[in-house]
Amino acid sequence: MKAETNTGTKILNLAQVPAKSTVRITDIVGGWGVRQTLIQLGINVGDVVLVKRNSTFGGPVLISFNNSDVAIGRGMAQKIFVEIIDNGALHA
Amino acid sequence: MALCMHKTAPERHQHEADETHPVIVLIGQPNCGKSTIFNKVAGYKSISTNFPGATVTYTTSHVKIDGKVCDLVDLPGIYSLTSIDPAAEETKKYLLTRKIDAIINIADASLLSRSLELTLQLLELNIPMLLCLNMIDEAARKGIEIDADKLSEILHIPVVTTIGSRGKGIDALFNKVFQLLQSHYAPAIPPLSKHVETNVKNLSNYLEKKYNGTLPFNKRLCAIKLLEGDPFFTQKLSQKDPELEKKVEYYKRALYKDHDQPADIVISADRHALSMDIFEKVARVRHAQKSWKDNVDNVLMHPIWGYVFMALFLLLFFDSIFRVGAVIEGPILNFFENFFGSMIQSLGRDTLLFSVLHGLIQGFSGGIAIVLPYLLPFLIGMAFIEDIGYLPRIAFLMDSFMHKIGLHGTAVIPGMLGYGCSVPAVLATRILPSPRDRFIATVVSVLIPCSARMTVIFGLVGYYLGGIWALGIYLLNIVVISITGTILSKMMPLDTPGMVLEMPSYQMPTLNLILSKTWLRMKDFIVIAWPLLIIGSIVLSLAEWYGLDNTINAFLSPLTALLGLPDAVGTTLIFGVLRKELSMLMLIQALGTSNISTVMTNLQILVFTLFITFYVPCLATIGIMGKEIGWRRTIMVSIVTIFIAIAIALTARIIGSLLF
Repeated sequence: MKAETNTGTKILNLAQVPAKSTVRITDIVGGWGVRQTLIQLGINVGDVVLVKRNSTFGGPVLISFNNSDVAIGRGMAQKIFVEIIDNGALHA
Repeated sequence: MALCMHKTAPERHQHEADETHPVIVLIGQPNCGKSTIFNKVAGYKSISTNFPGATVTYTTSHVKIDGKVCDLVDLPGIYSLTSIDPAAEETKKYLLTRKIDAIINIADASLLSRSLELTLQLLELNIPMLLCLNMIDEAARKGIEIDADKLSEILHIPVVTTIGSRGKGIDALFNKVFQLLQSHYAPAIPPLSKHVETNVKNLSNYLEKKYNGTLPFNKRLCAIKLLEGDPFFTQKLSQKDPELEKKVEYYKRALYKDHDQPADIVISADRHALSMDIFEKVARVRHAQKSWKDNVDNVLMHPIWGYVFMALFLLLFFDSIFRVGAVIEGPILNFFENFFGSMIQSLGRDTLLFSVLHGLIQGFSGGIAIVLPYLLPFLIGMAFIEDIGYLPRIAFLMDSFMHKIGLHGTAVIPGMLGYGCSVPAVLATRILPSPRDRFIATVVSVLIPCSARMTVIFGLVGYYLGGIWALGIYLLNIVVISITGTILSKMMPLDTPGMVLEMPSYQMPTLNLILSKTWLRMKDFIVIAWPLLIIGSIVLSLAEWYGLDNTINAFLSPLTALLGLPDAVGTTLIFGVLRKELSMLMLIQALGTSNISTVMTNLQILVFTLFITFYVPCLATIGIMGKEIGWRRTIMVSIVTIFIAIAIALTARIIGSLLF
């Protein structure tokens, strides 16, 4: 994935981010329903979340923030734009 | 099983209107422990689980605490007052249209900052409210220490802490609620940002003028929800005021211009920030204690091991139910068989009394010998899976697969519940926001063999042909479901972006909780299904006595002949529509022996079971489907299942006759 060369300024969607990265949400594109679904769970633009799982086989992305884990389907994850703050490689 | 797990809304309304007791409602975000607290004071009446969206309809109970009486209502969990799925819609409608004396806002203390976002919205309702920080032990474990007094000072409402699962703090909670009913309620609603407040104020002033005192809800709440684009408020309020939409649009644009984000995001972000701010004022976060819960997901949600574990787990689950059941089934059946032998000798086979007694005992013994041995272990196991929090993990793992059949991971939850009973499974589809997903998930859930059908599969095919055959039926069922789902999703293209599902923390359920839940579901069997089995059995006996069964059998003989089954099973298929277990018990009755293998070949047993597994859902399921997806579709689905059942049973007959 292209995220390896990421310096924290490049905008990706959540589905493109490798597991163990910490990202900041920069934008949620999508209709009212999509926005509200995410907002209700406390996922807002500007929030920092940890990507716990993002499988290369597809499937949902698991993010963690404020003590809660939320699984987000790939289609939905592609509507969430993020910038990588920490790609997790440093801790590995 | 779960025929009347929840009292339906209209019936209860009537009842409430007559009462003068205060109505106290429990509101909180999904999986914060509302039902657990409800059950602690009301007795186990509302199914509580460890996944979001377990309560999809509300349960009311008349409770007496410390000599004081109230009507306590357990409402489905909501993340926000802007509802996007029908379960949450139910809560919102209740909150906005019913007479409520007090609200207990339950918050998962370990998720306080997010929970506060709902609390801030609930304050706008202007109904006396108390904030209950539940699962305070879990918060402490996660290193979160909350100053409840300080929170109470900020919001000007009482704040109490509880540990619902262990019953801690619940007495104090209700004492505070009764105090609240007596006192003057004046909460402090923390303002949103200045710019948002200005627009809210302007819009609410407009509403006040326009409606001139007839506004159905609090004006500030209306203004906020209109700006957030909530369909419920928009629809309700623009009915009387055609100009409203333009006006709202104007203020929305004002917000958009200044923040470069849609108005609903601006307001939510404001509330989000406000909640975080309050959280930081009242909570101290330290290092979390290490727990087994932290690492479990590394295996259970692992891209490879997660699936291996899931497959083994489910296999083991059903296998152990089957083993436990089979051990008990045999001896009990033998006992009743012997019992009949002696009865026949003393009464003589050809009396009416014998017929009635025979029916009665068959129905009674069928319940004990065949249904209970499988049902009881299943319910205990299911309660454990639900309460420990594994279901949402299955949803996570199955998301990709579910996409292939046109659904997404969340639909696994109604599906899994479907293995228990189709009725709550159909209700659980309410956690899916899109009507299309709900329809497909309903069809899928109904096709899944419920525990009644499980008893037929295990009691007949498993018992006579062997466990591997029973497993085969389950696997075949998954194939059929996949094909059906795929066809349906081709007919109705995808219109939803997919799953967004919270993964709750694991909770080790207490034995007491599991047994209470098992008992609640068991009671449904004992109170509703068992009498029905007995009555059905007697009716069949009488029908036989008067020779009516031959007419029914003759009518159904084209079907039974097609499937190569004995004529006598015709009536049992009719009874199976009432309750799926009935078909098996009636089979025993119709064939006149509980040792089926003496009158039916293994192939016939297999064909019969396959047909029972797939054809028409039971009456209770049809009823609930009619309500949820409409009668036209329900009838359509029911007819389609008959064709599916015939196709599968016939295929089995043809292949089987070549093999056996």
